[in-house]
Amino acid sequence: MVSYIRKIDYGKWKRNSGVQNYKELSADVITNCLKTSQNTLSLWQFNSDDEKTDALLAIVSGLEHLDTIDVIVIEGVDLNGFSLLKTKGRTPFIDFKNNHFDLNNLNYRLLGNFSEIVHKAVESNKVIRITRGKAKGLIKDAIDAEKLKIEEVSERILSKLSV
Amino acid sequence: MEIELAFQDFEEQKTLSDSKDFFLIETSSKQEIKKFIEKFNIQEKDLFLNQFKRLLDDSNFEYGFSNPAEHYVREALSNYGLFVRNWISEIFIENLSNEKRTSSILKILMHLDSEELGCQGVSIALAALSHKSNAVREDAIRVFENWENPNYITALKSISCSEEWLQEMLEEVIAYLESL
Repeated sequence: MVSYIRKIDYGKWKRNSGVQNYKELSADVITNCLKTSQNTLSLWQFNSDDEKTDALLAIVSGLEHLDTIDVIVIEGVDLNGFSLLKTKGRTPFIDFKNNHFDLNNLNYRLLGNFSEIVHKAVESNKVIRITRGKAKGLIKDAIDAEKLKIEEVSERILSKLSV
Repeated sequence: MEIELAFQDFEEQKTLSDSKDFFLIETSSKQEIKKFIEKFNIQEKDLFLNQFKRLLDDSNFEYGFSNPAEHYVREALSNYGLFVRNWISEIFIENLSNEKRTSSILKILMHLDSEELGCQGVSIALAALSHKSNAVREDAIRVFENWENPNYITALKSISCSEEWLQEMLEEVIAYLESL
């Protein structure tokens, strides 16, 4: 089954927990956490549990700082009605670059619909938290397994890994 | 008393940032040193405060990524050390009721080493743990997570959060620091 993950600011969405109708979501959570670029939003696709780990690695290995981050998991069927375009992802995990997609041609209506998807995912706990400790483990394991080249990871992150 | 200071021409009121030279001065006058520090503090402080506040308001702060405000503080700390730590403390206190600025300051602190920030940085993070805004408290918890110093476990254990998600985060960070 095709699924996608996207990094979110979990705290911002939890602060909208009481909201029943997605149209009542605060403006900040949409404009700050779903900031579009050329009317697109970034997603990483996966098709199995192994690929899910790879998708998480694709995200954390591209960070500049090892902050705890959260990602939502979206099932492919929930994106019916959206336009998805395969684009090269920005990640040091080269083998996974082709699993990157953009939600494109977004407009006011579609952004609203996507906000609803994110809100529901947060409310139903379809969120994966990658703590600083877990991120370190993911990156270290990937370097050891030669899935990730050490020279591709930011120096600041490497300095925290003792590699 | 001998003291090493970096300034080119104290009498002509040039700022410290103009100086590339260090030299020794001998003085038995605490008053003279105090006057110099006060003069420096006013001139450079205003520059720093104005730029820092602008960056706090205009920078995009996203977990996992750097931003212009962070780079500015990093550079300022390497140039002016203690002065900058004090100025950041002042801005933090002045803006305690401004959730965005307070959170943004913490988002900068979480990307710097606690040693660079000294006791001023630690005090800011400790104070923020008790802020009424859960956004600020979340960022304070993240600061301690990133600093990876088990000495702060006690401080973290002394607070509790009414929001279940934030309490879980707090407990995860405590467990992480205990594992180090």
